[in-house]
Amino acid sequence: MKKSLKNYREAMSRTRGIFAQNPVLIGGLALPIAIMGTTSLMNAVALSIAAFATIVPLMLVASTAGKYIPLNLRRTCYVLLAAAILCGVSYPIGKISPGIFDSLGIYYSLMAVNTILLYRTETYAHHASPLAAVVDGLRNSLGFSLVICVMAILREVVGKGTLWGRPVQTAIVLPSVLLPFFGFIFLGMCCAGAKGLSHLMKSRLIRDKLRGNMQGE
Amino acid sequence: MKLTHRFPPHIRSRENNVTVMGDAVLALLPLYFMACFFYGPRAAALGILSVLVCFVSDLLCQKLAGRKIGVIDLSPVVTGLIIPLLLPASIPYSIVVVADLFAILVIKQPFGGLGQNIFNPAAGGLAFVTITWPNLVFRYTAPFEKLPLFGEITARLVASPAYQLKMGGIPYRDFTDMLFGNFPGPMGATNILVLATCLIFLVVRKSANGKAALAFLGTVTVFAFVFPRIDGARLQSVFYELCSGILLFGVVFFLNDPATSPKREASKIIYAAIAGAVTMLYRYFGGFEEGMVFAILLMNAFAWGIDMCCEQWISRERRKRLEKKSEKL
Amino acid sequence: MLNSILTFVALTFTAMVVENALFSRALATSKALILVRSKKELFLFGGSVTVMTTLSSLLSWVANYFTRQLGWNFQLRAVAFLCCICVVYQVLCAAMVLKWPKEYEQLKDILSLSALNSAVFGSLIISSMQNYSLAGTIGYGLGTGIGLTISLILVYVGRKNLAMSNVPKVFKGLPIVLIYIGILSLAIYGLIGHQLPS
Repeated sequence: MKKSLKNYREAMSRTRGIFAQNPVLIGGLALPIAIMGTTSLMNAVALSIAAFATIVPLMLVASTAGKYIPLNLRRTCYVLLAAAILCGVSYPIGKISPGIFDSLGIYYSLMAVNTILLYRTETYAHHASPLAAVVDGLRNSLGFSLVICVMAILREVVGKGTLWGRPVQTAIVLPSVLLPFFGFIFLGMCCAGAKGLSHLMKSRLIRDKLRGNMQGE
Repeated sequence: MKLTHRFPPHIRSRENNVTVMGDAVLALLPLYFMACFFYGPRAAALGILSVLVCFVSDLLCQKLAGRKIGVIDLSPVVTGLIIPLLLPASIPYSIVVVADLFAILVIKQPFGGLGQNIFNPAAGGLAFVTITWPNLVFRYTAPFEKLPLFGEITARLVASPAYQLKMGGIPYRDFTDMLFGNFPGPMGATNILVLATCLIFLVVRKSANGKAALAFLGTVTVFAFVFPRIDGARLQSVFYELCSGILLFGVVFFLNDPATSPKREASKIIYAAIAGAVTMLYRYFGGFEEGMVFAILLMNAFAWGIDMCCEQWISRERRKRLEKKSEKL
Repeated sequence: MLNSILTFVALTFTAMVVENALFSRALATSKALILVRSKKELFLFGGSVTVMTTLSSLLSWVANYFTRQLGWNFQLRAVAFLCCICVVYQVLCAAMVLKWPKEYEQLKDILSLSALNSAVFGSLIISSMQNYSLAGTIGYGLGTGIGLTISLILVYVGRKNLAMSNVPKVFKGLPIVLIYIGILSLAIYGLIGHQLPS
């Protein structure tokens, strides 16, 4: 039993940022993007690429040079650097679909000030080695991308009856699923689901441990 | 000694879930009778389906939450009965199911279930369905049209007086027709006389507050009189505002919901007056012809705040009075 | 003159109620904000966001005018607006360090959180997209800040109300507050009736 608890802990620490401490569902970061950017799968993929492009290089910058910049200039530099990167990445993202920036609206540019960037650089990158910071950045971006892509698939299929622009057979089409209020409610349900899943796994492990103890006695 | 943990209020009285909810169910049944009279057996079928879906989903959620089901709980039955009454008789069955599921799974159960919900589940379910399918929710059949129980509806769908008021027109309806519900509108919200009787019944049984109802209707009357939507005809405007849409139904069933309205008498009256003003605001400037469900949801968020403010104000007044009395002595 | 005053008031009101930053566009949603601990922090945050949006909208209107003349595309213009926000933030920080150093030490975090916020940045981009005049842009920025403060107060009061309910364990904390904001957003959507341009 101790072994399975140890395995669980190892698995959780290896997936830290993806399943264990998911930045969106458990950490409550980058919520505006998760609510308004998940109305279609194309939007979600574009925003995931933007997340990888901004978070990973900035974690590297923060762990190497960021320590030496004074506090009030630090965040300004990160944000401006992120915005410049987003300008550059906008060319390949524009290739996904001609109307992608129209449907993304302001939320693409808002990735420059996303809270995953601002919090993880402050709390983790400054006292971590560059490699660890880059790996953490990759993990958080992956966790973020997984969550918004899954949410986008569900919202697009139920809301428009399409997937990546192509029509799909659905039982019922609810157009209001694409509105912001449903984004809030859906994200709340997903957060509750993630919490419930982790509680379930922990309680199963504790129950098995107690059973193992009693049998051992 | 066995100690049990219960949530407040800890005061016992002769009323409990069954009496309060039972009164609401009794008040809803005549409305179903009239709906079946006007629109045929489809009204009853919608009601039965809605009650079943609400009851089963509520039970499942309570089992998932691990709560023991000992008490007979009529609140999902009331929600299930209210939702079809505010929709047209020609509405597809799937839409009623969606409204029920939204009401129970999103508005009622995540907040804690019976008595703990902040927002009115029926209002929430209806708001969701209004936004998703506004063309289906606001198109009604004329009374006495033959509607099939299952299958496609081929009857002609018309707009209600609320739509005509919103567009700036005058709904030309006979006075007695409006009072008896012989005009296209939501199934249960058109019978003005029956609704007034239900209100009096609930006030007599002390399940509804008469002063709050008067405050709401008074605010609506003043608004409709001072800013009439029908140019030049103030009394006519007041009459049509009171009889169209789901206004009277909301007064009877949404304002007096024990879980979502304030608890003190003074706060109930203030709550009802503000709700009247907000409903008229939604009717005049809102995006839909009948915005009362949204107004109710908004007011539910403020109910607790109004209670707290009234509580502080009343205790301050009481203290001042006691101080004055002790000074005199 | 009267026209600009009317535009100012109209856009302030629009940004406060109809295009509310929190309820209609889901900006400035983050765990730290919606689970804020005290009223004082809330008002400080709201106040600094309002100051930031009003001042940066002034600067961004100028930047918008010049970058449109230069023919920059949308992404580059957004970078220019971000520069405006950063300039205003640095000036405010410098002013506070010089005049009120003690308060600056306490408010450092809140100031940076409120300056580099999606609400501030978002309102600038939206005013540029809709091509508002100077009075309109400032009005929109002011309205966004005030509207955000009012909505955060509503969420704070709602959390006090939720604390008295027997919320299931899975929903405690962030999930139920998100669902609460969602239902309030549903109620406010009834006032608009159609999707906002994003």
